[in-house]
Amino acid sequence: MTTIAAHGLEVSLGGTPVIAALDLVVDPGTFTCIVGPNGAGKTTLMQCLAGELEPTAGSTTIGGVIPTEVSVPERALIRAFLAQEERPDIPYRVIDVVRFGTHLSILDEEGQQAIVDNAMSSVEIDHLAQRRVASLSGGERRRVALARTFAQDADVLLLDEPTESLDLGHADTVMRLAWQTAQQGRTVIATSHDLNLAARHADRIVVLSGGSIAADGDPKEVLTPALLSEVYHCRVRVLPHPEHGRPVIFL
Amino acid sequence: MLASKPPVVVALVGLVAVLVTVVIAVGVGSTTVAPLDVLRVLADHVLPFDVASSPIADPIIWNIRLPRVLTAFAAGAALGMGGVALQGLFRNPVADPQLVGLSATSAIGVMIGLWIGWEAGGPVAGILGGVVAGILGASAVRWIATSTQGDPSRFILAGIGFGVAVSAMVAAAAIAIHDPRVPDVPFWFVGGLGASTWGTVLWTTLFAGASLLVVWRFARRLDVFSLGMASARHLGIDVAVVTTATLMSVGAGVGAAVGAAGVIAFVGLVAAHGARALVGDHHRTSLPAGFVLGGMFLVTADAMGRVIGGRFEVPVGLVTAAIGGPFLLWLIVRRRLGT
Repeated sequence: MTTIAAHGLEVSLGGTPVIAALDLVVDPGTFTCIVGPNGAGKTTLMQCLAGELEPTAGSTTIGGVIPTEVSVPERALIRAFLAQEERPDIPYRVIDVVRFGTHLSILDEEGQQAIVDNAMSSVEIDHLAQRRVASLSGGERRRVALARTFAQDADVLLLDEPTESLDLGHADTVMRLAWQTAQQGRTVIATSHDLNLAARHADRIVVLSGGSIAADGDPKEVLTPALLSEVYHCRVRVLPHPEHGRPVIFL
Repeated sequence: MLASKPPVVVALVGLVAVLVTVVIAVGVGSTTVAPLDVLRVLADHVLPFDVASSPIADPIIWNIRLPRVLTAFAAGAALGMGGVALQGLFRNPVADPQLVGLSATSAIGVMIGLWIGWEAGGPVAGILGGVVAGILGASAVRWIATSTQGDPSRFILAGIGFGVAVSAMVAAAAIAIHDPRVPDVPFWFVGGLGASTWGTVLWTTLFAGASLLVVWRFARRLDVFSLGMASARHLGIDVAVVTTATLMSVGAGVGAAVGAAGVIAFVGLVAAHGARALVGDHHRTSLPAGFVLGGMFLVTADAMGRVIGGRFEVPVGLVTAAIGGPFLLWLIVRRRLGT
């Protein structure tokens, strides 16, 4: 049960402010989605939360630990981080790459295999296990990377654009999986450009704009036409979904 | 492919292949000795009882050919394993100790070692100098890799340019010094195993073996490097530690190889691709396979040089270049065509 937080976070890249005085606390057992337009600072915030980027000012913590102040292996034990970029020319089979996620595991071979099998089945890539990653489509490779991230079996999952390149069905599966993982007591944060998927699955939505939090809370309260139109600089409409009542966003 | 076979079978196949290669290579040259006679001489020296062997063949094999072949094997093994490690580390299919400039930096140490240490250690002084320079040269390779920002073509081109420039300086120094302790120009471009002794066998084997053992400890982490440095770090791999330790270990092995055999190109390139084709991409198996194949390749190339040239042997580096050059060309063309 690990809380992840940012306190007075400021980041400048090449002299340009990207994140400005940002405070955020995410409790275990919740699935939080960070949304916002291009350049809002979503990836930078995720890198800081993951301990992959030293902030210009302020700090981030994972369970009270400042991630940039612990060793690289220690960091990987307390959080799993799915970044946006993955190399396409990986020479290994899918099962080998998912198993990379367990390389720090203290479990025996059987225990590690169970985690790998579970991770592959949760993102529906069991049937690809023996295929070479280089032979897969972009969406399939993204699911392999996701399975590898889940195989790290960390208490905190930071997923930067997990649904990138995924078709509608698999994107829905992945977001549901993120929510289910949070229900097990883990802390899950994902960024997304798909506001509908975020609205449907996230417990909490953080809207970033210009490196600051423009809104934060329950999807129904946060995803309003006025706020989204202002943040995305276009006219956005929002209606409640006829079945589950969550916001449906369209232009 | 041997990857699907049990490790014991793979090891046995490798051992038999090495023994056959060594026995044949020891027998060929200006004086040909039949494999059975070679085995008799070896048995006579190794076994605790007398074996009837040829008194003419004995000194040729035991004092000249065997040290030369075993030195070639150890040097080739270090270069072959180095090729696998460098290709894994930099995710570059054309990386090779000579092509990235590591052999050239080692050559500086070999020359200094021979010059100042010949009286104390003979050719072994060159090996020890090469090891020191190889370890230091690892930082030069790292600098080239960092400066070329992961671009495989720029990395190799910069390595070749750097390596040729340093080799040329070393060769120029050899001419200027004009000292019998320092080998002639060909040694710094196409190698040579004529000065091999049991001392060079011992020290080259020691550093080649140690290099393999250290890098093998990072085998699984080198597999993860295939995802890219950033993803490897996200998964908890201390990229700087693995890169530094691997490069320094490879540098030590390559330094010993250059000290023993001179600057020889393409061994790592050919051995690495051969190893992966035989046992797969996992470094746990491809590193030892590259070690064995590199050794066999250099032994075979040296033997071919002796057979082709007769009394005037063809330098071993010319043979490896004749094989490795077209292979490199094929690799580059194949990659450009995207097949």
